[in-house]
Amino acid sequence: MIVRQTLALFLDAYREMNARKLFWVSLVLSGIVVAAFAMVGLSDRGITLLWFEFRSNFNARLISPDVFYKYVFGVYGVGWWLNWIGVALALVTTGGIFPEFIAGGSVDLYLSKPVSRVRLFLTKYVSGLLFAALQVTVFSAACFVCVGVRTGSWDLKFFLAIPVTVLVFSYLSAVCVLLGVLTRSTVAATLLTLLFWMLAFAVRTTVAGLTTAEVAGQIERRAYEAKHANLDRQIATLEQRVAAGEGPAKTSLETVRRQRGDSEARRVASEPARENVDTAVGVFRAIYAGLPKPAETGGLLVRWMNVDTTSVDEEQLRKIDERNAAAAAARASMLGGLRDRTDVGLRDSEVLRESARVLRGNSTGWVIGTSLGFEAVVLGLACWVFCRRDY
Amino acid sequence: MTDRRDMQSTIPYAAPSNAVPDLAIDLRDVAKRYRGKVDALKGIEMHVRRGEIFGLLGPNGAGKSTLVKIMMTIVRATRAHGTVLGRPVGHKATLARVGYLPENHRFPRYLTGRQIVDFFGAMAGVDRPTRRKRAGELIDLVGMTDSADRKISTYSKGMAQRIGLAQALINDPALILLDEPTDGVDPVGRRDIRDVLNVLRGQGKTVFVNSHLLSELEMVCDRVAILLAGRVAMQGTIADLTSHQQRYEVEVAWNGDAQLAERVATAIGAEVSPVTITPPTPTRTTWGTPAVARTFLRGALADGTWAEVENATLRVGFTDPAALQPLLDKLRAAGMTLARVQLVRPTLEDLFIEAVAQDGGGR
Repeated sequence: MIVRQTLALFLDAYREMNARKLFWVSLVLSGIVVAAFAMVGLSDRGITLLWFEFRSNFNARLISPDVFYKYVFGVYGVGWWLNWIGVALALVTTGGIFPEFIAGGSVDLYLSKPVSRVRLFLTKYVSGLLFAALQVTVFSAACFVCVGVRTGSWDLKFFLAIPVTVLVFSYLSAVCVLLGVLTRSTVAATLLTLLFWMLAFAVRTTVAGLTTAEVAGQIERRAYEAKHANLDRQIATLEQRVAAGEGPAKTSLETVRRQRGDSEARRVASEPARENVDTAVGVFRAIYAGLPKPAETGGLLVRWMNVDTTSVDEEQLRKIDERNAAAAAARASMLGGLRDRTDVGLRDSEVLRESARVLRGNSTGWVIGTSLGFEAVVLGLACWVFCRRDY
Repeated sequence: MTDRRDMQSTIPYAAPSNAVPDLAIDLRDVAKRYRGKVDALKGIEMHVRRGEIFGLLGPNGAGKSTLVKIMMTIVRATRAHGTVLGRPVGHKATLARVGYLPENHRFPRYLTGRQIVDFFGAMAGVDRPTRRKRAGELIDLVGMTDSADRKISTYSKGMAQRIGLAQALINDPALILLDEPTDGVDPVGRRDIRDVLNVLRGQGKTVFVNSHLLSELEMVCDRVAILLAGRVAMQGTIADLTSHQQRYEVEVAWNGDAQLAERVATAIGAEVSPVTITPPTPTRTTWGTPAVARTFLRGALADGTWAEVENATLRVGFTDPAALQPLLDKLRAAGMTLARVQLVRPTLEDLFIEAVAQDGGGR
């Protein structure tokens, strides 16, 4: 009986989706994205669009077409289209499932059947995920065929987009279900879920920004330590020379001591700002840990597809290095040829490299585990409300 | 399977051993207090026998729908003892043998009538071949064969109600609960639904009907209960419930005598006195003719039986025709012509109005 009821609910969910115009709108839009994906290519001289070629340094000699397609699929196809626009469309389409389900006269028909409320709730929730699963399956299959035909590389990893996108959608869908059960309003549930999504994104962006500032602070601290150690060594040497009766060394000693004092004063003055950053980043990381991570989960696909984008990143960083070179040279210390790194900017290439490493350091288990933990709590709460309520 | 996992754990339930075998519904001390301390039900005692059509009446807010919803596990009782089909109230697995048509139902608008019957059959645990076979039969039974493959969004209220009835029967239930089944249905549709209910009774099914349409219930129900302010005010067969109000009416031919009422009372030897009706109730008129002055006498016969005379009509509290004969003889002996002698039984509506009035308007 359980299988029969579950299949009936899934079939009903499919029919419900089929009846929604947005389902087909999303599918058509996915088709357009796949078509655009198929039109773009990479040649030895640059980027191609249908039979047109646009000369660019970004060409097949910088990155292989195979990797390029996977990169475009992972970053733009899944990262932007599926994980942002597709998920937003899915939320708008499925936002009404629970409010309509628990409406008076509707839920009565379901609750009066020999099926427990918990099972009914969970089956209905999972059937809502079918929307995302169907959409992404069609999209991934189309991209898989498209890349296979163009490059001869039939990489089944394209289908990893299905669990990744369904996961991303499930985090937000759980929030939408909770809000739908609480407010009984499709509009309220959908809009508040989109707002929550933006909030989660804002927290992630804040963590990223604060991490960059934290890394810059750590580099500055290390720079102060190195600089002060260097100055202390110079002071010790100059003191020995002064003690040996070397007259001109006395002036140099005073100059270096003044530099040491000024530097320490700058360090002390700037330390509270670094400490504030450390505190803020700790707080925001804790908040972030408790929130779902749709963007980071979507990013896992690029990681799993082994898309080697290092050359692209390094190209960008090299440009940043060139821009910063002049400023860095101007700030180079006269003392011992050391670059003064006590005031590094947030666009410093070392800061960017290190903060990127830190941000990418979150393991797959942590990203998915904490997100699923959030989903379980939210879904559990929604289920509890659904089961306890009188209709 | 009837283990505890299938039950709503918060509902206290009586042990199944308490179940009375011939009762489809045996409710004892069913209470519901909503948040905000609103007592919708205050200890319902109700018994529905297997194979009968049982009607539940009550004014708005009496708790009728709450009671039905408790039996269907849609509302969680604050307190509920008793059984439904021999199982504790709230026992989920039992619902496989129960059919339900809710009031103001909202079927998925993207489904056709046939798909609705099939879908809710699957939810009730009916296997596919059986669903297909029964769906066709039931759709035919409720007269929806021609429209069964149209989307329900194109249905009228009455058509949706017929499909609702079919889906309630798809699992071949032993007990069918219908909440306002004739709501929005035209007279022909109401007659059809009544016919279906009679067919179900003929098949030995128990039907529990919650309806505002008293005349509908009166035509099909074996027994009824009247719910007032969360309590069962009365329950039983309509005949039992109305027996205390049954009476004989004897109409004497009107001869233009303004004192006829007094003469009738004198003829039968009744001790009566005039009753002042305030405000004066107009005498029943025919086709808008002006109401005539009304004489209303009330009292008792020599043996203590109540009696009243209204113009040319005598009413006495007999239900035994033998007891009436001496009175008829006295009237004839007094030269009066008897135009009509009739045993009058109050309608369900009379009973309902009386119950509500006794309860202070149902509050």
